[in-house]
Amino acid sequence: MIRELILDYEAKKKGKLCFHDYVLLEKKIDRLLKNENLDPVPGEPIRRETFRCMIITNFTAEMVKKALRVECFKLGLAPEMVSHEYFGVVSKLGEGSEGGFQPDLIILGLLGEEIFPHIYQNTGNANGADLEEKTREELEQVAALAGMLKDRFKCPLLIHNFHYPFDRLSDPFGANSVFESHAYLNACFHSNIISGKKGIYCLDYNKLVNKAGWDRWKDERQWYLFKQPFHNDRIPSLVHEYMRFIKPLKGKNKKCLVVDLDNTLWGGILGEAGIDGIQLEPQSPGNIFLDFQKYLKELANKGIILAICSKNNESDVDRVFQNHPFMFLKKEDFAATKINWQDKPQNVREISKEIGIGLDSIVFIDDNPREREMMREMAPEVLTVELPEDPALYRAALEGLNDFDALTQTEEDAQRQLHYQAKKSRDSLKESAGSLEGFYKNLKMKVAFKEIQPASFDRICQLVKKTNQYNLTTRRYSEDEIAGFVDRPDYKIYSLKMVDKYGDNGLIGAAIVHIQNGAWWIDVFLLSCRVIGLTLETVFISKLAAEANRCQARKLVGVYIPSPKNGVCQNMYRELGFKHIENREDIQEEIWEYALGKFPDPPDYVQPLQD
Amino acid sequence: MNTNMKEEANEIFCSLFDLEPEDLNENLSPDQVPEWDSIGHMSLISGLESKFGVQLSTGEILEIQQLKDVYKVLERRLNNSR
Repeated sequence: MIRELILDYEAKKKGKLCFHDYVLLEKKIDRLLKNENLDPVPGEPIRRETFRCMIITNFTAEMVKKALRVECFKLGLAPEMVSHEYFGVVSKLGEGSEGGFQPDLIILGLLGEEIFPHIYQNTGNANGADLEEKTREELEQVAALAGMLKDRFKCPLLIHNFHYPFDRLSDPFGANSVFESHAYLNACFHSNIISGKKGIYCLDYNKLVNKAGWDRWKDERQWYLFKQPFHNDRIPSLVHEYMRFIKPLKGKNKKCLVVDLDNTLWGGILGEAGIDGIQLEPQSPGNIFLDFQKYLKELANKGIILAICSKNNESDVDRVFQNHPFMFLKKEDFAATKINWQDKPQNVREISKEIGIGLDSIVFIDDNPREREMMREMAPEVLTVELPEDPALYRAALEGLNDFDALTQTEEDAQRQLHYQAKKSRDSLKESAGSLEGFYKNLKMKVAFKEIQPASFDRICQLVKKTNQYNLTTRRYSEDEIAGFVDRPDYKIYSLKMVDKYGDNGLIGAAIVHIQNGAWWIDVFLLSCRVIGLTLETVFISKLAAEANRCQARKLVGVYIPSPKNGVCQNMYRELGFKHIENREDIQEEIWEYALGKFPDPPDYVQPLQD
Repeated sequence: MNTNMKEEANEIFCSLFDLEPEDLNENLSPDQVPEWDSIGHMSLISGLESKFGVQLSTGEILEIQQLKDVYKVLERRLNNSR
């Protein structure tokens, strides 16, 4: 219930929370907790795993604790936190006054200013051997504390490294090199305290400060009044880093990244543009996708399992893997591939079974907001990333997650792909749990079915010329030919326009009918690749059938001519209840018929569009 | 007195310190509000700053000792920025 409260609040705020949001959320959570304790629901024990965290700092960590508590609750944990001041913590812990608190994690966050005045302040200027000695001396104190904490509590320890001494007056001519003493400090810190020590981890505070920029990071008012060195609005980013450790510690990290192909691994739509038309070359804009593939390879080397879920023809994709000169990832980099026209939540469920991990270990990326919404609706356990529209920012969106970290990186991580690949099985799977219909309903689709008009003529010609995938006959009529059909009484041309909650998709379907002896032959029937998988073929055909009925046609005749690219619609007429009449082997045509008068209504989740 | 500003400030005050609007009076001070300790004070400042898009000075943060000081500081700020 607390988790839901946080997720709802986040959804309302559309994305990242500011510090004040955390303060308000913590208030709401504490109120809920109080009610839970006063009035527990009988027979429904509150199942939250306790997470005990000890924070030792030489600055005020009270505000940080607020945001950290909320993030822990969001993971479904019940956090308990204590904080200690660095100076004096040794004697305090020695007295045993922490009351038997056994932490699951200790965070040790120290500001360099307080411990290394010879580096952070001009008055403490030191050079050469003197500087090194003072630095080592102070670090020994930190190392001693770390050792004592490890011995005593036997739990993981997360220690901040040290930020750049921005406030020190530097000598532009290099007489005192601030950068050198700082570099020495962090190098020494790392080699003496972190490296080779089991269960001691470094939080890269230096990087965090630099990423935000010192001027945005620091807050003098907070410092002088409250001894908190950073601005409250930077707290979420610090807590975000803490969560990178807490998630794997509690087994809440993600293990598998499922990617789309078109406009994700390469630019453009393979089924439309063909292998030579997709963007993947080292020049712009292909370099965006090439670099993104390299980044995915880095993730795979870190132990993240990659998988593909794409609406495409598998043979086309295989050709890209084998023949495209700049395709960086190999098919072997993917532990599972689902390249078909089935809905994606179902595919992701199958991927999860094949690899043998839960849906809650999977991250899904797709450039199409409808696919993302469908995944959220039907497989809410999957983390669906809100990708930005600009593919250049995909990497940043993934780096903004704190879900991919593992605490120990083993050689096995890098080999994991191979293991999963071997384990791949193709067990048949049960029906998906979520409801497709709910998803379609939620899209709030509205359509307009119309006969060709001067305003729609150009777009219809373009669709006839270009559409490869959802195109039943792939007959490429020229503009003159189509203009000729418009003038003939035995031809009729129709279009379908669709608007949904994501906006106006424009004209996305076209059909050309040839009337022969009262039979309506569907000579051309196509849908734009943007709307494949939204059941619009059902809508379009039922509108067409109603129109044929109105014109007192005898029957509707469908034609399917297979092409290398239109496998997606090969079963359309069968699925819509047409009867198979014949195959004209010589010209590879399938003929399907529908006797009119009783064609089913279009699904009720699609509404007519008012002009 | 800008009543909108006052209402918005009151809302933050109530949500942070577990009070109802009818509990409020201008003379409320940390002595009378248990949650208004130093942490509560910083939460209040950060809430006001995000809500009103201002950055209060060290002096102003110290100046706020009663609820009415919140109004006073904000009013001065918002008038000056116009």
